[in-house]
Amino acid sequence: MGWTVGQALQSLKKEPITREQLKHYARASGDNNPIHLDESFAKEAGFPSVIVHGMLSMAFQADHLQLNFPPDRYQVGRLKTRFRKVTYPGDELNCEGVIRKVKEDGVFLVALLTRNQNGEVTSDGEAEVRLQAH
Amino acid sequence: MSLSAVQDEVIRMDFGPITSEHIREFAGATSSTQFQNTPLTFPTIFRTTEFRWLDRLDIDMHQLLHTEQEYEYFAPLREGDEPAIATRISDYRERRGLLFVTLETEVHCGSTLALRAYSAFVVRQDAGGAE
Repeated sequence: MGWTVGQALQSLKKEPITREQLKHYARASGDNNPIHLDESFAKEAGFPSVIVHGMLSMAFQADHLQLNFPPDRYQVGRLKTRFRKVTYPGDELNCEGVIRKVKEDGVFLVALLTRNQNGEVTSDGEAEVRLQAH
Repeated sequence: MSLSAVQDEVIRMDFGPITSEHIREFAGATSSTQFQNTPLTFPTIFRTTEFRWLDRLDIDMHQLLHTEQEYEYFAPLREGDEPAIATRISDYRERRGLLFVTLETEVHCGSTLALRAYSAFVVRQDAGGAE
C-alpha cells in the first residue's frame, strides 16, 4: 500500500488489562518489579494499585505498528516510546498512528500514540519503517 | 555518585539459546500476532543486565519510573540465537531532586550486532509520576 504523509494507521483497540496479564507478562519478560505485581508495594510507592508495565503497552504499540506494516514486507529500523501516564489494570488501551514523513530512500517515519479509555495519552513515540527489498 | 565513576563499567550476560517457548510465552503475554521470528519488544527479556545496573546504582524500586524505551534494529533475533548482552550507563545526572539514568544495551548474536536498546529512567524523590 502506498502510504502518504498525514495518513492515519488502522488503530488497534486492546481488551482491558488484567492483573493476571501483568503476572503473565512478568513471567515472560523477567520484569518482576513488585510495583506491577504487589498491591502493598505499589501503594507504598504512591500509586492506588499495581501499575501496568510500560513495556507491555509498548508491545501493544509494536504489534499495532506491524499490523499496519506487515513484517513480511516491511522492516522496522527503530521504535521509540515515551511513557506519559500511568496505566492501571482495567484500562483499555487504543493504539493509533499517523505517517509523519515519507523519505526519498523509502523510509517512513511514523508517529505513534496510545490512549486509555478516557482519551488520555498514556504513551507516544515514533518508528522508522522501510519497505523491504525483494 | 558521578557518571565518570561508572561510565566505563559494562554489565554483561550471555543468554542461552532463544527457544520457541520463549517466543511463544512472550507473544502470548503481549497478545502479539504480527511478527516474524520474534516480536519487536522481545529483547525486553534480556533486561536482567539493566536490573543489575539499577541494583549497582542502589536505586529504590519504589521510586523508579521507566520513562522512555528505544530500540534500533540491525538484524533479526531468531529462535536458536544465543545473544550476548552488554549494558553500560550512558547518562546519569541529578536535577531538581530527580535522578535521570539512561542505560544503553547492545545485543550481539555471534559477531553481528542485532540491536541497540536505550532505557531511560527517572528516580523520584516523592510519589506519583509515569511508568
